Amino acid sequence: MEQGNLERQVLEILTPLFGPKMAEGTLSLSCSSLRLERAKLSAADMASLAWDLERRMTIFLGSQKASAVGRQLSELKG
Amino acid sequence: MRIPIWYWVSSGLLLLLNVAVYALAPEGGALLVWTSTLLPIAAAALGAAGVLAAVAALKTRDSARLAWSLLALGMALSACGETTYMLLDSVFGIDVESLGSTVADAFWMLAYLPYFASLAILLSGYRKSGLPMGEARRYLAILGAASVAAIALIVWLLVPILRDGETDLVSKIVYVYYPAADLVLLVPAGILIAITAQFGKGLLSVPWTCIAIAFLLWAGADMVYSWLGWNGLYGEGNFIDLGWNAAYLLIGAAGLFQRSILVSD
Repeated sequence: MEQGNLERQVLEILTPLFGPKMAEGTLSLSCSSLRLERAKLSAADMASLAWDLERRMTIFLGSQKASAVGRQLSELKG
Repeated sequence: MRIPIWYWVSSGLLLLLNVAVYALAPEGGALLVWTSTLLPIAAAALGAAGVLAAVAALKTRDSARLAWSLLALGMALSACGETTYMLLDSVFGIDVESLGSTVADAFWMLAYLPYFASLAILLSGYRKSGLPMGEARRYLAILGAASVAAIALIVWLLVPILRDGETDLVSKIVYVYYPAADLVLLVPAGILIAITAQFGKGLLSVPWTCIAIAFLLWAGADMVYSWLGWNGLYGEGNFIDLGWNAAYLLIGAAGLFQRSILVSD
């Protein structure tokens, strides 16, 4: 399946942190828990998606850095 | 996003010196005595510095900072244990091995509490993140390995030590405490390995992997130490010291890697 532009950009941020397989899995998990369609992510979805991913990264990165990554995600425009 | 070169060089030199002196220095000589007591202090201090660097980079008071702070506390207590041992053995000339246990053991034994608490916080935080815990077969493998280690430990080490009429009560407690505490510590360390194995080359998991491997090394060294110590075979220049020193350095490397992730753009 062809990746949407936003989906690809999110994966570009997540992959170095989570590794390719886990980045894919984490994005799917977040989209599923927020009831978003992964292939049709829009700029309007990014705030909630960023919040969900930030929450999942906090134990690894601490709130401040996780929040910085979350901000980076929420600013994606597609 | 890397560990600074000075840390690799210092750690490499320390371990190289450790191997060289243990292999070549004459038994009972001053060089061996001082090396075997000073190098663990240097390794623990380097390791503690690495973990403190991570704590300093975690600016917000949250569970990640608490876990790393507890790890730093454990390292500080371990460093106090190493320093006390050096003072007793090398400065005051007390035959520490013949005593079976000293005040240094109190520091090392106490250090397990923050180590365990730190791992428990990381695991609890990971569970709350909702990320997958990993494949069941990995847990089965870990459970199998832990069960074999526990049975071997109980049959060949703990029961014989407890039944030994020649060993005093305090020494018995010390010889039993370390491997038993290690066994308890191996459970969260094993779970950490099962979790981090899912991340492949992902940077987030590297510090946790280093910590888990360090505790495995540590546990291995402690178990061998307990058996050697109980049989009166542990002495200055024993190569199992390398297990502890490498574990200290690996925990420090975990801290520095964590810092490098935190300060990167």
